[in-house]
Amino acid sequence: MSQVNLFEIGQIENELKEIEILISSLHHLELKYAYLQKIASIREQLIQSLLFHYNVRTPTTPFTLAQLQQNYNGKNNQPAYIAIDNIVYDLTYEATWGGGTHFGLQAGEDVSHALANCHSQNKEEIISKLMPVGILESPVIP
Amino acid sequence: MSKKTLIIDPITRISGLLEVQVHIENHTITEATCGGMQLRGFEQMLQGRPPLDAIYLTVRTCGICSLNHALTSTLALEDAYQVIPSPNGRLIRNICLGLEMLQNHLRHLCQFVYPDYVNFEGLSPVAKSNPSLCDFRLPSHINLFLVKDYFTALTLSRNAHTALAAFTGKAPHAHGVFVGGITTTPTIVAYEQAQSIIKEILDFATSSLVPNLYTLGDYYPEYYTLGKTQGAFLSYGLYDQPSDPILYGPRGTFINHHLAPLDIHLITESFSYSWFNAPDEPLPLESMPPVPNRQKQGAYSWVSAPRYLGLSLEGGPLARMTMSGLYNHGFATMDRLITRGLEIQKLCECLLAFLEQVTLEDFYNSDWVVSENAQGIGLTEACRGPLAHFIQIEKNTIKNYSLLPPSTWNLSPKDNQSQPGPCESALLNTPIQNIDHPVEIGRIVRSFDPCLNCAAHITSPYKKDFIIQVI
Amino acid sequence: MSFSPCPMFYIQTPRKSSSKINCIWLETSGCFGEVISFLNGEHPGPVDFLQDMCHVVYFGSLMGDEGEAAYTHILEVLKQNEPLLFIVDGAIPLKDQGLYTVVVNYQNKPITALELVKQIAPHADYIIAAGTCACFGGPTAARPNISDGKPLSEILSSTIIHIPGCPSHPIWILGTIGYILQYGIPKLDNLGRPLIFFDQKIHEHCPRRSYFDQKIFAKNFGDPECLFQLGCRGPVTATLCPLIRWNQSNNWPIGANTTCIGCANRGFPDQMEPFYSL
Repeated sequence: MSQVNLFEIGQIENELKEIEILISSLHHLELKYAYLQKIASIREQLIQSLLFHYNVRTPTTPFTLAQLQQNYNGKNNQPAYIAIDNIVYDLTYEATWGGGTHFGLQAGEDVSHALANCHSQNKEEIISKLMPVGILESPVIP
Repeated sequence: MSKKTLIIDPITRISGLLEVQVHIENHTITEATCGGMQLRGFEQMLQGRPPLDAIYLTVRTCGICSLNHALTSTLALEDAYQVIPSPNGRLIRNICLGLEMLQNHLRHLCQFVYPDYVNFEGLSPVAKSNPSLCDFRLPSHINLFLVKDYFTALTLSRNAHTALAAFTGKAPHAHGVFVGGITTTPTIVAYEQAQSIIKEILDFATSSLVPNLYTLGDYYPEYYTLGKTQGAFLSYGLYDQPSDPILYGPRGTFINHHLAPLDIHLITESFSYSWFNAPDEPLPLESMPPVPNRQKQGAYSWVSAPRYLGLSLEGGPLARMTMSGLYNHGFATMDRLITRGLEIQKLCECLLAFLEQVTLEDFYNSDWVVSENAQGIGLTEACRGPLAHFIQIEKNTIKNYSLLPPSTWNLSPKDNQSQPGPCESALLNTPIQNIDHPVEIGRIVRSFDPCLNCAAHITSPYKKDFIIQVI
Repeated sequence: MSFSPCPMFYIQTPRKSSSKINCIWLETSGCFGEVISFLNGEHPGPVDFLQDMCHVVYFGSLMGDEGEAAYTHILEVLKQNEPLLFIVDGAIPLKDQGLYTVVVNYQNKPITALELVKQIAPHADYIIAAGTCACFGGPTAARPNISDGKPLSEILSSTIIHIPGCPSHPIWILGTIGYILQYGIPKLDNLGRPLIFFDQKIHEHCPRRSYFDQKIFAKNFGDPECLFQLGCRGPVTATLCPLIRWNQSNNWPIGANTTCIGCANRGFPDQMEPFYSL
């Protein structure tokens, strides 16, 4: 698999689920289990590809939320980063985030919740167009 | 002995929602109240917001005098952040202020006031339902001249906004007017357009509008007496700086026919007849904001009652013209209308003189920084009189913001001494010819050019001694 | 003293349809900026609207009658079974049964904006919400919204044509009305806005777009480059400001070297702030 994005992966997963439902209505037990195993292996391949895709696409530079808030909030010429589902994205040149703000949100924050609420229809599509720069790390609690 | 209570709501052809209630006994008004019927709560809205956003938010207090708020807010922020605007920018801002006033005065006189004296039969809904009861006295050929004024004013007031938008991007609710000057790039196009439009308006005022207003006075001479106030005025000064090429209205008060300097600490606000929970004693400006209470007994307005030394003062073109010595005929309805017309001429002269001083470079000084904590005050003369904005900034957000617009003075309700506001006192003792179809009330009220969008506000605490910077 | 009506009012050019539609323009809780913007219209302008397009029976800012005589026009037109265009500009407060905005007093009884819109709306063939306050709440409903101001769509269940803007451009208002009279209701988007005026973002047509694409940004207001880093809302605002411009001046907010503040958006002003990101 070459260029895969999360949106397409979601669609493939949905199709796999539909096929699984069809398979589970088969009466021939041996055939049924053979096909289900096949689906499982396809899914395994998909996950591997996804991990590969992620590893290539996503830098693993760690950021804490505090770092985002202090140094990457878009104010005073700082870059504008946000965190969605533990991945950090760079929105410094994202048109809808002028000045590092977007509909009452400020860059330098975890906006997973807001994204799920406001863009529930097309969340994956939006994320697929963003530029990841690292992952969100929880601060170490001694 | 006939007695009648009359409520007129809506007072149409004004800015905002106003209700006037009068008691008439033996064809004379014995009691009058003016009530603002709308509250939005701009002061509370501004708290907690970024200070520089105040300019864009306060412009939206009012659509017809929008730029006045932008400028006053800008001056308050410049005072707070100690910013000196670019000199050219200051000139252009003065011109913008004048253009907004021209737009307002043209619309007020022709669109708002004329239909009370001029027959517009055939033009719905400007035409009155019962013209024979409306006391129209103008012979038809003179009526026609004033009807033409109405249409000309529609065009020229629109042009005033064109000239304004060339500097501010859009009107109403301008951009451009900002801390440091005016952000627009100077061009000869905007300059010449403003010059041309101002000359057009001056020509109209001189050749048609002002003569027609005097003609109106000839046919309605009793309105030089009806709607009379004490002639006690307040002004924050319009084009009164030594560097201004043509000086116009001085800053100060005019009480008992004497000019006196302004002391802002002598302003108090009373809420006795306003829909707010507040003590009966008038509050100095350094007070907690009262909470709205629409069910309060005895109250009849969302507008507060500002007083200066306990006196009810009036603002507007009549105040400015009288205080500058350019008009000394009187303080009644017709005087207000005529001085508004005369002010159009004066403003045009001032603006053309300002344009002569402008050079096409550096309208904007961007070399300034914000302070985390600051306080400031902006004072301007707006279309209808004195306009003040106070801002208190703490940790880079607005802690408190207060607006005291001119219509709060002019359309003020009674205070804790039951002393009426200027419009209310102008209505008192007015003889009413036809109590079933009175024409006098609307004429008197509209001469004040009421703006009730501006008027209803809540004061906020302001704890610093003011040092008013004259820039 | 008798006088004849002014003859110039009889020069009228009738529309395609036979009679002019009745119109009520009701101003509720706002700044009355919609009316000023409307008066700034040119070709068409207010004269076309009053003389040619509609039979305006109620318009607080312009009408001759006042008080009960003015309100009677509304009562009379509601009794007729004629087509009616109802334009509302301003939000509708709910606090204290709507008493934060009283628009009429009739027979000693105050009538709130809330009551009056509900009274008129069932009789209206077309309802227009003019301006951001009427469409989405706007500055009137900005937090903490002490009057509990609501957009018209939360008060009425009928189809409402939304023409937002703070204020909206006279062309958007008069253009939509003209379209309705000539062709019926225009195609509306999911927020009820006519697509003819609200389907393209400012960013798509901004003359400073090449600055954005090359990442050349203004540092302060007053600079001629792209204002993105100062918080410009052009990319999220779907109006024709860069093309139509304002007040016949060829200028517009971005042309004045300031950010677009998204005044026509749902969420203005609270979600469009800060207007100037330092």
